Amino acid sequence: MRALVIDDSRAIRLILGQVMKKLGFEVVDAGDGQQALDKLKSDGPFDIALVDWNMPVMNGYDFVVNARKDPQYNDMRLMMVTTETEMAQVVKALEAGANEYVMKPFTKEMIAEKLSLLGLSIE
Amino acid sequence: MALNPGDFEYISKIVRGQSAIVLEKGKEYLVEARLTPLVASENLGSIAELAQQMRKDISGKLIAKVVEAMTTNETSFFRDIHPFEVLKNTVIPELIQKRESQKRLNIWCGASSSGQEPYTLAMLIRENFPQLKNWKLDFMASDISTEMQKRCQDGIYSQLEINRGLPAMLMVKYFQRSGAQWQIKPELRQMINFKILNLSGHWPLMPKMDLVMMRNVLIYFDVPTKKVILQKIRENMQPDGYVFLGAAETTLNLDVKYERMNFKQSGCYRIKEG
Amino acid sequence: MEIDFNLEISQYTKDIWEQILGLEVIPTTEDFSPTEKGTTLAGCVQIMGSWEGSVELLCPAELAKKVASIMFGTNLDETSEDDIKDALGELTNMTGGNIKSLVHDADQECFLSLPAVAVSDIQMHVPGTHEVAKATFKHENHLFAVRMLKKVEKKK
Repeated sequence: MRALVIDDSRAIRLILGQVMKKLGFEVVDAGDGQQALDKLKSDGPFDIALVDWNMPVMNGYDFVVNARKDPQYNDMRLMMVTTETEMAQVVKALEAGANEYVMKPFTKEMIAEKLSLLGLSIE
Repeated sequence: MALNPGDFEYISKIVRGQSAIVLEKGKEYLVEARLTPLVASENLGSIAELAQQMRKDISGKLIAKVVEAMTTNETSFFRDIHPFEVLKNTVIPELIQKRESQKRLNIWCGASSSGQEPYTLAMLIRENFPQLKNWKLDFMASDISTEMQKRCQDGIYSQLEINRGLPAMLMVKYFQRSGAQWQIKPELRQMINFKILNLSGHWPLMPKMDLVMMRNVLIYFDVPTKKVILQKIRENMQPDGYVFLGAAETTLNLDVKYERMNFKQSGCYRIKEG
Repeated sequence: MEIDFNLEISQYTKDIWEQILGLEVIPTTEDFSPTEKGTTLAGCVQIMGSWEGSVELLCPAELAKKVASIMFGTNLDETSEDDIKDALGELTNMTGGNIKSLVHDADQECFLSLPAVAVSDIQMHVPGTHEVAKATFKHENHLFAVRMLKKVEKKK
């Protein structure tokens, strides 16, 4: 399975990328929402995108809105992994089409449990 | 934090006496992991010092804290997804069908710990079986620990806990923000009756259960105690009810009157017919 | 209910440092003053909207380097300045995001800026703000601090 990790922090891209690789995913990453949209075209398809919220150029929320406009990405799960922790933000992301939500700081267990909820665990 | 064999033996003995939980050799890591936070919060320097204070503990307060720390369990919502899928797709629909005329269902979570399991089950029921709102639902959740029973009643979780295994959709629906914490909404809290119960001690009178959740708790007990608990569960169950044990647990060699259901990785059992 | 910001910041900071870095940090009453401890780095995020102000993470350069080496999985001597800025920026972002959830008004939107990281050997002064909380922490022999600054409301 393939995952797209989207975060403006290189450190988080690395850490989250490693977590996903350990969970059996092939990982591609992007530093903002626009780059991520480009990678969907050039490197897709992906089974899941892990999406930070606050990023330069295009934020993660706008990425979710844009990705959900295109029916060819309907099957891709979108999981926010963000420091935005207000209930209103969670609701906003889910309404825009995100499937799951992880609040930073995260652990490998959290990510694995959420993936299993999305039916993406590799056992 | 290092733990010397004498202190390990002493702590094991105390914990065994108060809770019937067995800490065999090799479980030193568990003692260290569970007691290190207590050592810090009691302003002690080491587990050795804690053990020393326990020996002088006439009031029993410190010992109670140690037993408490040793018996609580790290847990997440929807811990191991399989049993909940079996509950949703098979067990609860079947029970609803069988109890249709009485419209009554009795559920017991026997080791509720910090409440994730009973609340997960409560959410699952609300989400998938709205008709049960009009039934008489007797939902009991018990734990040996007073602190845990209080935590369950409050239903307050930290951000780290809320991140564990809980679908975001359900978080939005059944939780509310309480400062930095997240609290279960009253509607769900009121569904469950939280009690203190020592599984290896005296059990109160309870209704015949249709569903018993007893996952990952028997591992703490020695064989004779396990046998007694399994037998008492049977005596407190409807003949066609179900019990869930942890996926790695078994009634094999403990109680011949149970049969394991052929539900994938769910640890689901019922009483053999006849 | 009054929120005890120092207490909440302590909890969030402990969680972040433990979950992401695996480092134990202990809240302390010792004062961390950047001027005395050699080079200090400051990570800063702005909160804008229903609550306005900023959150700062003040961290000695040596500790910031250790943080970066853990996050990037590199040796201390091969940790670059960019790695350090990125790592400290992300820690500041996580701290700020958590604090934002405490202060924002549920009915209005509240935004978090991207983090900025600077070398700061004097205590940063952000004009038009006052300090509402400062929590100091200890990791091994290093002290570091989280400050929360609120914009002073203009008189009408």
